Amino acid sequence: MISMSGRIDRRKPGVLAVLLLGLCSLACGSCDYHDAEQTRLELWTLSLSPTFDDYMLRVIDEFESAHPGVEVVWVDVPFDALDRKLVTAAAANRSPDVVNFSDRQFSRYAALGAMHDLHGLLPGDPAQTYQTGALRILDLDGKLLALPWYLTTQVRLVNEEMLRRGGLTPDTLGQDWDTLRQQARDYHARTGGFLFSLRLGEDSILPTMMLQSGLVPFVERDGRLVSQLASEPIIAYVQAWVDCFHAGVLPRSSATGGHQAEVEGFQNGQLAVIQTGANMLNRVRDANPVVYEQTAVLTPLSGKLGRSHVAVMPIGVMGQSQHPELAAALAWHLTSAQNQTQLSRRSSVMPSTPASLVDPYFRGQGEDAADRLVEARVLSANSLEDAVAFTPALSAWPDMRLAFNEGMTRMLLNKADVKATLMQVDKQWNALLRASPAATLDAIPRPEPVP
Amino acid sequence: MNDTHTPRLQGNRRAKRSTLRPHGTWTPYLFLFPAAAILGTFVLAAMLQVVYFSLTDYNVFRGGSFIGLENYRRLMSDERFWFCLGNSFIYLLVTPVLMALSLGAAMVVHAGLRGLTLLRVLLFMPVVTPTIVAAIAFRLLLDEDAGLINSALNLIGIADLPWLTGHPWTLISAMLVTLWKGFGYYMMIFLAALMAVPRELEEAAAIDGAGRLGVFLNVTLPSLRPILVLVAVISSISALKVFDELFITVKGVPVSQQTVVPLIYDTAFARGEFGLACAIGVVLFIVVLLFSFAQLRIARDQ
Repeated sequence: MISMSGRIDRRKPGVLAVLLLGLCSLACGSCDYHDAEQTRLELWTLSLSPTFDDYMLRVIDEFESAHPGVEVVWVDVPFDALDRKLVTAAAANRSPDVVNFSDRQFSRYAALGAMHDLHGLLPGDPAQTYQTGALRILDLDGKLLALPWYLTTQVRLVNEEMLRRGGLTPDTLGQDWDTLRQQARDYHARTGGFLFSLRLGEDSILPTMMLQSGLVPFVERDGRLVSQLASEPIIAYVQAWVDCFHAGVLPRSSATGGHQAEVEGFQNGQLAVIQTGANMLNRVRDANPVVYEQTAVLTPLSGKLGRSHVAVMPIGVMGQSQHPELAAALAWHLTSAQNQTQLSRRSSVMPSTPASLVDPYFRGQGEDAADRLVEARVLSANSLEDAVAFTPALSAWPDMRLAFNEGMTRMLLNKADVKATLMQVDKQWNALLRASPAATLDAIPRPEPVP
Repeated sequence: MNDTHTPRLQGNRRAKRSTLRPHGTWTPYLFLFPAAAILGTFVLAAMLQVVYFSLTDYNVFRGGSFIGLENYRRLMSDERFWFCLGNSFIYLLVTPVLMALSLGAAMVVHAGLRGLTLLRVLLFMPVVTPTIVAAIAFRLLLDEDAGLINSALNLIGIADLPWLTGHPWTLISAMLVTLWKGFGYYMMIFLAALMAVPRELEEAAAIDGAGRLGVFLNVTLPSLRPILVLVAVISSISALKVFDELFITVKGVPVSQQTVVPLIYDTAFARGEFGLACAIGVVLFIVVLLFSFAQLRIARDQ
């Protein structure tokens, strides 16, 4: 472009521009040719690579073999990066076709209208394939917005050495939240340490715990769901936990920390008990072998109903997908009983397909029963029989949870009055319920107590 | 006088124009084009798009419809926004502290004593440390139940401080990360400026009887004024736009205890209200712009 004399040759930029345009058109032409030959499906999973690379590539190969002309592009996204990446992709109208979410992320994207209704797109009957409780929370406002992939039931990990210092043993440790709260006071008075922690503020699990105890913060009036969060039993329930926090019985991080903070507290020897997925036992073993050696695995904590909570990892088809039927077929293939059994064998997660549970693997047959990982898996599988996904199937639920979390942090950090704050949150809940499609009490998990 | 001067000026202009002619009228624009194209595409167009989205109920999955100034009306009546804006201005307190620390460090390093090269490297290390690493380290240090800082305070009879949960301690915690991360960078800028201060001026002041403080206040500091203004503007803009430090160090505290950018993130990604988040972004842009203009104006007037 610039000649030896330093002057610009005006023709050369033009020639270069024509060449560039030509290259671009050639490149685009090849894209078109490629698209005409193959249908491309993009699948996003959450933090499965590199541990599950072999498994995923095999499952994808099977799908591609069964669907000639379909190419599946698998992208594994770190857990924390999904929101940012998915929103960016959607803003560019380049959403993936199939996405694996956490249950909380699913609720948010479902409320934003990001998902495709799977009714009529699936090659089989989901009601006959998946665990009813897991499927129920994915059916919002009459639309099936995702399929349950794997489940994470919870177990209690207890540090026996820390329990002993507080005069407790795994046998004397409370099996429900209320008993454990009382024991935490005694433990703190005796040792100055913390028996356990709980997500009270940020990402609060109190709504789940209320439902586990049979405290339903809703009633139905004129065929519509109405909040009843400021009822006396619920005020008393929340007050008990807020008092516990202010008495210093729970760590300060229980107001602002997430599940990560709890796991870190346990593996650092600061918490004697945590309620978590069995898969976290691997992490404790890698992070702190001393604590791992002191760890026992117990049945999960529950409320008065005697039922533990199960977290569902849904997999859905995005509304922007150009091939929703194929995308739904891919989601169906990934969540088949056979593939879920294989996935569970490679990890500590549980399948959402009851047909998988007949596999001897989930009973620990032929394995060392004293191995904590085997023990955790068997306990998880056993608890699945009575476990319930205590997540309301409401499109407004993500916003209702945010309002509740904000109220809780005001009570915990600013010492706001519990009754007055719950009344404020109650008003917000009712406004959100009125602004969303009418729902009934059927959307709220209200199982019978375990006999 | 004017009559005699004007033709000469015009003649000069003509002469300048004629010197450009051999390279072609379009040459400067051709050189500007790549940068202008990149800025136009990735900055200006994006800014205009944000302004447009702020006037809609935009949702990345469903699009949006025009709602006029509704997002701005909501913003003005949203107490969270005002809390966060107030916190952003509190966060500006980090700027004078940062400037004082970095200028002090630059003067120590500039003194030319033995072993200061190593000190300079050590002081610059936080700049190349990723913010996430610094923030996690501070989070562990400031942990309210098991952190080193509270344990040290207890030893001297001070009760635990709510570094990670109580307002305004949450802001102070994030400010500590900003200070630790930032002062090495500004120290290098001040160091370069100090090296450019003419030695003979300082020596002349010393001969005239000025003490060390007098030389600093009357010679060194006035010579550094353009750099001081630059650092004040840059660090203030950074303070108003702070995000990483808060997002990691005090993760989980209510957004009303944080600043405006975490509020934008929360509004867009936790609540899915992208139109409202864009409106907050536009208001923040105007605030930063006005603040920077005001700073430059004050500096120029002085």
